[in-house]
Amino acid sequence: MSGGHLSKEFFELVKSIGESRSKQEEDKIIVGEIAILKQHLSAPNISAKKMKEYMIRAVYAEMLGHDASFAYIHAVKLTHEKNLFAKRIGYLTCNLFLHKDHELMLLLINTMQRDLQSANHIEVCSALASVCRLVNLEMIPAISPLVFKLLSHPQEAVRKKAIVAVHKFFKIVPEAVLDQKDQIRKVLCDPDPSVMGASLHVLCEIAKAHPASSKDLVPSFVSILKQITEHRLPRDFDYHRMPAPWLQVKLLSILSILGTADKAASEHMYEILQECMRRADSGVNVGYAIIYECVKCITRIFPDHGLLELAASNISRFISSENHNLRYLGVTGLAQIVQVNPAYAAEHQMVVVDCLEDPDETLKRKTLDLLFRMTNPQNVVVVVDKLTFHLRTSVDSHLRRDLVQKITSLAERFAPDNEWYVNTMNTVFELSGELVPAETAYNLMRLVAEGAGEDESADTAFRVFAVNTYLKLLEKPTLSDILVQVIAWVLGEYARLATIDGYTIEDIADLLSECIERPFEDPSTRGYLVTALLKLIGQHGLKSTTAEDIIRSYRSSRMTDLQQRCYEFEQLRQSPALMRKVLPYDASCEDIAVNKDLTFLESFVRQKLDEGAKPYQNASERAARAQTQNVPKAEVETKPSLNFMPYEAPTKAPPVSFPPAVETHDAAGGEAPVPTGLNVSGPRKWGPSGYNQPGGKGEPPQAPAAPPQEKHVAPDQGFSQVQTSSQKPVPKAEPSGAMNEKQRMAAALFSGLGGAAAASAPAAPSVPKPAPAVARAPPQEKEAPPPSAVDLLDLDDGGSPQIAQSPSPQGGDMLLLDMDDSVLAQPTPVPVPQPPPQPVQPPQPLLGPLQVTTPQVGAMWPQLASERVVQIHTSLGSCQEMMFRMQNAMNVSPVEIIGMEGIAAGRVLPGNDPCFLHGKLSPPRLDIKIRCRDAGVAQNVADLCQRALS
Amino acid sequence: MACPIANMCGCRLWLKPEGCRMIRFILLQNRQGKTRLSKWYVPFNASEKFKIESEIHRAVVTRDPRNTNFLEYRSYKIIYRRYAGMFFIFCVDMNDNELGILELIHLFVEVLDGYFGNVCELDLVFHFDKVYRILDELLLAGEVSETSTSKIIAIMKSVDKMD
Repeated sequence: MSGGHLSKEFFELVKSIGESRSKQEEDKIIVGEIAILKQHLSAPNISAKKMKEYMIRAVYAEMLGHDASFAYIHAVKLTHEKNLFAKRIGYLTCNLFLHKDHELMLLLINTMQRDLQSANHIEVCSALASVCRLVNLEMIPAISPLVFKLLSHPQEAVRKKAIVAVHKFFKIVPEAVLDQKDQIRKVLCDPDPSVMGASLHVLCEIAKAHPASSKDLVPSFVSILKQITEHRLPRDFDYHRMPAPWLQVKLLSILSILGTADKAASEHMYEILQECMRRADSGVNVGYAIIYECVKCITRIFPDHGLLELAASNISRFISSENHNLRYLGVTGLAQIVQVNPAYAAEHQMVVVDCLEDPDETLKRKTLDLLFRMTNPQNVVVVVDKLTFHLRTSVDSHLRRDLVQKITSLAERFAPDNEWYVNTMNTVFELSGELVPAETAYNLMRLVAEGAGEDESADTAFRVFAVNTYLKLLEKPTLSDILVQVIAWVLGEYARLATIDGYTIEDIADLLSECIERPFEDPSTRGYLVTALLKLIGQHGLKSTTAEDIIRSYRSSRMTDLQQRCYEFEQLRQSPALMRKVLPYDASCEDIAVNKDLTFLESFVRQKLDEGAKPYQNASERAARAQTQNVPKAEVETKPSLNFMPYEAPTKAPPVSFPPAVETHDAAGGEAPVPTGLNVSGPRKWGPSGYNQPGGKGEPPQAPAAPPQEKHVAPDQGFSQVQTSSQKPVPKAEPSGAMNEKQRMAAALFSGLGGAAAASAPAAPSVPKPAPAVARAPPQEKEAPPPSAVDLLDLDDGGSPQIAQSPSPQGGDMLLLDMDDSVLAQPTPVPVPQPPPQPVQPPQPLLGPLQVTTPQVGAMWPQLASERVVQIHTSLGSCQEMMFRMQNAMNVSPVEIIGMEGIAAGRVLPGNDPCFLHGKLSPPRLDIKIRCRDAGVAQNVADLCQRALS
Repeated sequence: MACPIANMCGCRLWLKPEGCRMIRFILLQNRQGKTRLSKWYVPFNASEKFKIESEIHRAVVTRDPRNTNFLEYRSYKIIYRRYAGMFFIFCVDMNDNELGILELIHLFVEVLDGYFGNVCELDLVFHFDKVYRILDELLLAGEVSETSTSKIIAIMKSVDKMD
C-alpha cells in the first residue's frame, strides 16, 4: 500500500486530510485544493494523464462535500478523448458528477452514441455504465436501439451492462422496452450466469407492472432456481459455500410477485420453495437471508399449509435466536405470517415482549409493527398502550407520524368504548397534535355530538364525561392546537353539562379566554376559542367582562377570520334573542334548511327596484341581450376571461361596508339579513352556502354547530365500528398473583390470537365455549368464510383475491383450517351468535365502475369539490395489486397505471356522480386521494380504502 | 415520468423515482464520522448529502455492537457493518432483504481484500478511484450485477494493466 500511482501533490493532500483533526481544518485544505485545481485546469494543453489526476482530485473534493462543478465540463471533455484510459476516467467522473437532468448531458449524448458502437468492448462498457447511471427521457430514442443491439454482443460484460441499461429504460419509458420483450427474455437464457442474473432485475420490474403477461415465465424461473440450488453454477458464484445467494433472493422475490393470488402459478413453486429452504439451512447468514426471502414468498403466494408450517417453524428459530439480526428477521417474518394466520404469533409471545423491551430501537420498531398487525378487539387496549408509550418517548418524526397513524387507526377500528376512545385520542393530540390530520379531530367532535345514537342517556353521560375530561385538560399549561380546537368546540357546545365541583359557566368562559392568549401554531385555533365564548355567552346570557375584553381586543387581529368573528359578536350581543337563535344549544346534528331561492330578500329587492335599480339578469340573459345588440364585447361577457375594458363609473355606491351592512338588516327587524358571504371555516352557523337566515319567518331556527367540513358527512364507518364494538363488553384478563410482569404483558398482548395463546398464557381470559363457526359467520358466507375470519383481525393480505379463485381440495382444507383457528381464537364473551366486530358493510355497494380516460379524469378532477386524503400502511407491493384490490373491494374501474401511481374511477351509487381515486404507492406507504362531489361519500370511500388496501 | 395529475396531487416523484428495491446510496465512514467514500445512486444535493452523512454517522456510531445491523432512517433502511474502524453503510428500500444486503457488504469487503490484499483504511483513502471501479463492477445502477469475487478481481487486474 502506498500512494505510488499518485502525484506528490495529491499524495500530500490525501495525507493532510487524513491527519486533519477537525472538519474546519479539512475544509480549509479542500478550499485551497480547489483553488489550485482551478488554476491547473485553466492552463492550456493539459496532458491526458494530468487531466485524469485532476479529475480524481475534483472527485475527492466533491466527496468531501465541496462543490467541484468547475471540473464537470472537463470530465465531459475527457470522454471525447481517444486515449482509452482517459475516456474511462472521463466516464467514471461523469457518473459521479452529473445526474440525468444535468445540462451537460447534452454534450455527452453524441460521445455515448459513438462509444456504444465502438469495436473496443472496454469503451462500450464505460459508455454503458454511464448510460445506466445517467440516461434520461430525451436520450432513450437515440440510445436504446444501440443498447438493444448490444444485448447480443460477444462479450458477457457488455451484455450484462446492456441489460441493466434496458432496465433503466424500462423505469423511464416502459413502452419502449416492452416492444423488445422477446429480446429481453432471450437474455434470461444467456450462457453466462451473471448476465442471466442481471436480466432478473428488469424481468422483475416487468412482472410487477404486468404480472399476467409474465406468468408463462414461472416454470423458467423455477427451473433456474432449481439449478442454482443444486449447485449447477460455476463455483465462482458461491458465497460461503452457498450457490449464488443473491440470485436466489432475486428469483424468490420475482416468484412471490407472480404467485400472488394465482393458484396455478403458486403450485409450480411449492416444491422448489421447500427444497430451497432445506438447502439454504446451512447455518450461514446468507442462507438465512434466503430462508427469510422464502418465508416472504410463502406468505405472499397462494397459501400452502405445509409450507406455511415450514415457514413458521423457521421463523420460530429466527425469533428465538440470540443473534439480534436473526431476531429482527424473525419479528418481520412473523408480522407477515400473522397476516395469513394470526394464530402463529401465539407461541412467541414471550419473545415478542422481550423484543419490545430490547434496547435496540430497530428491533422495537419492528415489534410495534408486528403488534399493530395482530391487534384485535381483545388486545387493542394493551397494544395501543404500548404504541402510546413509544409515541411519548420517541423523538424521531418519521416514527412518530407512523405511530400516530397506527394508534388512530386502531382506536377507530377496535375501541372497546367511547370513553377509552376519547382518552386515547386526547393522549395522541396532546403528544403530537401537529401530526394528527384534522379529520381525526372532526371524527372525535362528531362522536361527542352524535353519541352512539341509540341510548340517549348513555350519550348524555358520555358527553358529561367528555366535557369534564376536557375541562380538566384545559388547566394544563401547554396544549397542542388540535386539542385546543376540540376542547373549544366541546366546551362551547356542552359546557352546561360540566359536573366538576366549583366550575361554573363563568369559570369555563374565563378558562377559555385565558387560553386565547396562549401562543398557537394554527391561527384558526383562536377562532375556535372565540366561537366557543360566543356560544357560552349566547346560550347562557353570560356577562363576562374578561371574555368581552378579549373579544374586543381581537377585533384588530390580523386574521380576518378572527376579526370577523369578533365583529359578529359585537353585533349579536345587541340582540340576545337573535344570539340565542343563532347559537342554539346542542343543535350541531340538525340540518339547516337553506333557502336557496332567497325569498327573504324579496322585500329588499323590491325596495331597490323602486329606487330605480336595474333588475338582475343572469349570465345567459346578458349574453342573449349582447348578441341581439351584436356588440363585439359579447364574447368577453359570455366567457369568464380577463376584462380589458375599463370599468364603468359606479352609478350608485352599494351599501356594503361591513358593520353597516349588519346594521341595515338589524334595522329591518331581522327580517332580511344580507348574505354578505360570512363563510368562515369555524364551527356553528356559517355553512358553505353562507350566512344563514337567523330570524326568517317559517325557517327552523337550528343552525349547524359542527364545523362545515363534516356537515354533509354521512355516519362514518370508523364510528359505527366504534359503536358496534362498544356494545360488547370485553373480557378483562384476570391477572393471577403468581404471574410475573412479562407474562402478564404477553397474555394481554396476545389475547384473542389463538388457542395456543390461551393455553400457554395463564392469564388469558377464560374462553367460553366458542360459538360454532357457521353461526358466527353471516349465512351467505358459509361457503367461504375464511376472509371474514381473517378480516376480523384486519389482516387480510390478499385474502379476498385468493378466495375468489375456486380453491382446490387441498387449498380448501387449508383455508378451512385457518378459519377454524381464527374463529376459535375469538373468545366471545357471550356464546350467542352476534355480529362480528368488524366494520359494518354498507348494505349496497357504494361505488360502481365508471369508464373514463386519464385526460377526462384530469378535466373533471378540479370540479369535484370534496377531497379526502388517506395514508395507508400497506402490504401491497405493486400498483397492479392495488388496482386489483380496488377493483375487487370497491367496485371501481382502473383508468391508468403510471409507474407507482394508479388512477381509478367509479360512480357513486345510486346515480352517476363520478368519484376518482388516485393512489401513490411507495411501499409500505400508500397515499390515496379521493375526489368526489360529496364529502360524506368521500369519507366513506376513504374508509373503504383503509380497509381494502392496508 | 411525470404524474399526470402532478400539479394537483403535488407528489414529488424525484424523491422516490421508483418504488422498487434498489440500493439508494453507499457510505464508507470511519469511527470519527469522516466519509471515506460515498456513492449515490439517486441524486441528492451537496447540503442534503452532508446532512445525511452526519445523521447516519451519529445514528450508527452510537449503536451497541450487539444490536441489529439494521436501522430505519427516514423512509429507508440503513444496513451497516463495521470492519475495524470502518463502517460500511448501505441505504436500501424498506422492503429489501436485510440479511442479503448485510452479506453483500461482506462480499464487497472480500473483493476489496482480494484485490488490495489485506485491505485497510489507507487503501480506501489512497485508491478511492479503484474502490469506485470495484463498486461499479459489483453494483450497477443500484442493483447487484456481479457476485463472483474472482471475476471482479480479474476485470480489475486486466484494466490495471492498461494503465
